[in-house]
Amino acid sequence: MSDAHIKYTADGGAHIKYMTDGGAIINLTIDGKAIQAHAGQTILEAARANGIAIPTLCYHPRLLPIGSCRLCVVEIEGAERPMTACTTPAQEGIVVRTQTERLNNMRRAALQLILTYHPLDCPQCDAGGACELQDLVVAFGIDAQPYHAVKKSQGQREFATPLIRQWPDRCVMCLRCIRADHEIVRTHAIDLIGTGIETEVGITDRDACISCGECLQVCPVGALTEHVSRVKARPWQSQQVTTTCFYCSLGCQMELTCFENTIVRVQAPAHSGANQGSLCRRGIFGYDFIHHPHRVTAPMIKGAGSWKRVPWSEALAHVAAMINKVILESGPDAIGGLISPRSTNEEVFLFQRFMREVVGTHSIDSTGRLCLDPYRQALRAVVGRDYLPPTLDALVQSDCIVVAGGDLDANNNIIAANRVREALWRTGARLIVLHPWRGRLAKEADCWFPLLPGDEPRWALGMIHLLLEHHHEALAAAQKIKGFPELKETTREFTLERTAKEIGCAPDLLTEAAKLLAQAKRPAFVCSPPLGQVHAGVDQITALANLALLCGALTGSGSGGFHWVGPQSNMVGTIEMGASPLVLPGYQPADTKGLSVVEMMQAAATGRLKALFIVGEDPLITLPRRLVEKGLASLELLVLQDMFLSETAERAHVFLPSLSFAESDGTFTNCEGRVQRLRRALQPPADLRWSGEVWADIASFMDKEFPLTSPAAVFAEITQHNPLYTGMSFEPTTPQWRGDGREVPLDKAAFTAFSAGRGEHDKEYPFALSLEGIFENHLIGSAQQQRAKGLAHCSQSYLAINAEEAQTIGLVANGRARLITPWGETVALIKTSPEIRRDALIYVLSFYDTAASQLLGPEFNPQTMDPAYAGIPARVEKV
Amino acid sequence: MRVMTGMWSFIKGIGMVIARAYALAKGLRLTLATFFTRPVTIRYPEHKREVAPRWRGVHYFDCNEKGDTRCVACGLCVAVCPSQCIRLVAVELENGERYPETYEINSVRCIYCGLCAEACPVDAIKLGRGYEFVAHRRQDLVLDKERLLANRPGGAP
Repeated sequence: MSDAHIKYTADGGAHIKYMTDGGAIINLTIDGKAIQAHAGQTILEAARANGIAIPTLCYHPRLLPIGSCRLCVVEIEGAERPMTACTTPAQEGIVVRTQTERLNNMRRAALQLILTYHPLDCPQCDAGGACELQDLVVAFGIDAQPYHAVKKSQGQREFATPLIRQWPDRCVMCLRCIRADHEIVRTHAIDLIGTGIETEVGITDRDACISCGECLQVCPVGALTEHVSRVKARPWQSQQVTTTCFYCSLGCQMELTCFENTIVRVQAPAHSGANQGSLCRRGIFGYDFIHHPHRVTAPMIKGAGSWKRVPWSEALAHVAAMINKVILESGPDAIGGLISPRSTNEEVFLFQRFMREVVGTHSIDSTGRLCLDPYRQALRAVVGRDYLPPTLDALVQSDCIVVAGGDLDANNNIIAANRVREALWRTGARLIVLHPWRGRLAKEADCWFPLLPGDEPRWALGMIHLLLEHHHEALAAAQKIKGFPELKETTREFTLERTAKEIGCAPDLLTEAAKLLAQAKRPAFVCSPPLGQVHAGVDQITALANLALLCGALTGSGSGGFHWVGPQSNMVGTIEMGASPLVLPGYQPADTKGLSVVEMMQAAATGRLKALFIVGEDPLITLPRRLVEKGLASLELLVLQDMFLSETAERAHVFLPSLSFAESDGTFTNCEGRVQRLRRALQPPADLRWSGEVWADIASFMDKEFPLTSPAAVFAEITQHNPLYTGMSFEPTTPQWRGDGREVPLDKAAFTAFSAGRGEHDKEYPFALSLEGIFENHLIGSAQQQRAKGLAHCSQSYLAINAEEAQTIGLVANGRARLITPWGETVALIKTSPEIRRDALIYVLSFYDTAASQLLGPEFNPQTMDPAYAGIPARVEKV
Repeated sequence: MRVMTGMWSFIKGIGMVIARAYALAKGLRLTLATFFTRPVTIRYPEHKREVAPRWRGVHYFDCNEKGDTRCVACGLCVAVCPSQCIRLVAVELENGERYPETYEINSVRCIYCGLCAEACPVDAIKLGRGYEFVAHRRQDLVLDKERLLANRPGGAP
């Protein structure tokens, strides 16, 4: 975002438009040094790029400059008065001076004016020692000031979110927080309030705030402070460790501030990772569970209904003996393994080795596969090989973005805000959103299609029909692709009228969307669950992939790509490391097929599976509850490795404590294929051990060979055995990506047939229910989330329903209603909106909703063995 | 001649005695002079010596009107301490103020330079005049918040 191009308009306002490429090279002189800059760069950017320091306070590299603090004033030869370097574009041949007596006096005066109202409570202030104002005051040697005013003392108050507090007295009116809110996240939750001397930063729309902490991160002083950690440490008391966030598959880079083995703050390093300095509420505030007193720190064995703490050797010997017993009695195939997609690559690799080599079973799975497999299978068929999308940076360059699946803002505000919105804003990209609820992103879209889950194939067919009919010439390249005639034939009958009628949209909207897609040079698709999690999940994604292939989003260099935003940090890595019943590490085919997680539960219920080793998963919460309950109850041995006693732990026989992400070392592979380091920031409590050691010990108790190694050594092993990871480094100096080139050759791609059928509506269950956030918010692989105080305010699930429908049923907003599916029911908080499709229900899950899994049906997608999380028939009743 | 010799040795003897007596008196002069003055030594520990006005002894916490430490846990003493003997865990109270949950000075490691007192923006930590603190174990010489408050010249608040 560094190259800004500023245009002054007739009304005197400065409008800054980002340039997509660096401008022409221009020459200028700053402080007697001849330097080069790009046209469109400001003087400040040109100076900083050449190592010339100019003091600033209101300037932030990620925000548009406003020139309000007047600290960056510079003298330009020929200009009458000093100009602010942050807003003045560099021009050919100008001579700039940044350090003169006059400028120094101006800067001192500006600082002294700022200090007039600043409370100078530095010892008490949370930002003390890391305050930009403090640094400037010290640098300018200001020890007294001539201006006096009655200082207000308003103390602190809650900001737009309870996770951030505001100290209005300390505010220096740099407006960085407001600009971050308006320019990066675009929620418009905060703004300037009042006039004249009463002006202050205030909350304009509390409901719009998504607690992303962007304002907190850019505040140069202590006017906004974090409200999660009670312990506060100064920079000289604490250490900073850069690691990878463990929540979603974006894998944000973040800096943990650790003090006396406690995390006290999380920040994002600027210009690093996929997040580029942003974090979401989970990443920035969801860390305190690590230090929760309920965390289990010793192995436990269940005896007579209660847990008994035992030494490691006893617990592991017990596990080994029990596994040996099951192998002896029923064979190794009676044992299954389930590993969380929030485990590191090293852990997953070791675990699948443990299950395959030591135990001798291929029944190993992960819930990460449930989300990723429909996408992987569909794209594999269309592209002709394993598809690796371009990096998310391609989204910013794209000129038309189709967002399908869940509510992107709720699931991943970093991608929604920093990538999609950046594209809307930077290149004027057009946006098409497919979601039954007109959320924030849909409101900004050019076309919003309120599709029911499962209607995407028909929408895609209708779009393809329209594109072929009206925009034939724009799609010349795609007509040479295999399967084109068949596709044309299939879509022939999906006329505009028919499609519009079947999916319940206005025909004009479809025509408009087809036009946008046809005109786009670099269209891109962004998908997220619950897309692909209906019964015909693979068809759903195949349909969109066909459309993407037709518009050129999949093939060719610089294509926008077909992105998949997953809910769990190492979802991609987990499957690539072989936590799948079907494939070995690196998608190498296995000779024998094991059981998938759903099949394991079915097998357990019928007594074919006797033992289950679960690492960090909580299947009772994510999979159809009745099935899992039945399955877990019939097991002879259930070993659970987790941080907290989850719901599943109640059914476990042995509990082994595990490390948190801040105590682990290893790598995660994010949704772009970026392999990133997880670094140990804290020493684990007492005698907690790395999973690799635990499995090695179990193996030795079973008298089997299993190497005891470190994460670094395991990674070295991965680079040898997994062809996708060949030649990678555990300590890379630059970002590294797994896999080969991202170019998709046209001759391999093919339009793939898919079914556009949808089950008929049951009169008894008139609504189609989608569970959103089942993997995102809902469950962090274990019960961890419930323990994070920082996220407590997001702790209630709610059911979103059309306002009129709610009225018909007799429901009141913020009241309660009974949500019933053919398989179960729950009582939910109701939120109404006029902008939800009338026959759609969206159940947005909180961090630990144990009841939602009751709503899931026992039928599975035969291709992926995935339960349906969307398109569930449902009805709502008054309580 | 013999008489002469005897006289001479007698006189010589007397002279010697006088010379020795003089030397003795000279030697005893300081003793005798001091003998009749007040002693410079004191009967420690019954009697204590007054220390110099700029003496930097064991640390103490000044207290506020509530009787608690005035420390606001800003951490400047930790930053300035050359021997890094201060451990501070700051927490935030309900009213948003910083407060030292743990404040420890390792008085064995301390070099009594007084920079902590100089850095303190609220004059909470001070170096007192006390110098008598001995213990059998090193950890007993780590002064915590309560001991620092008790070290005040007036005793614990």
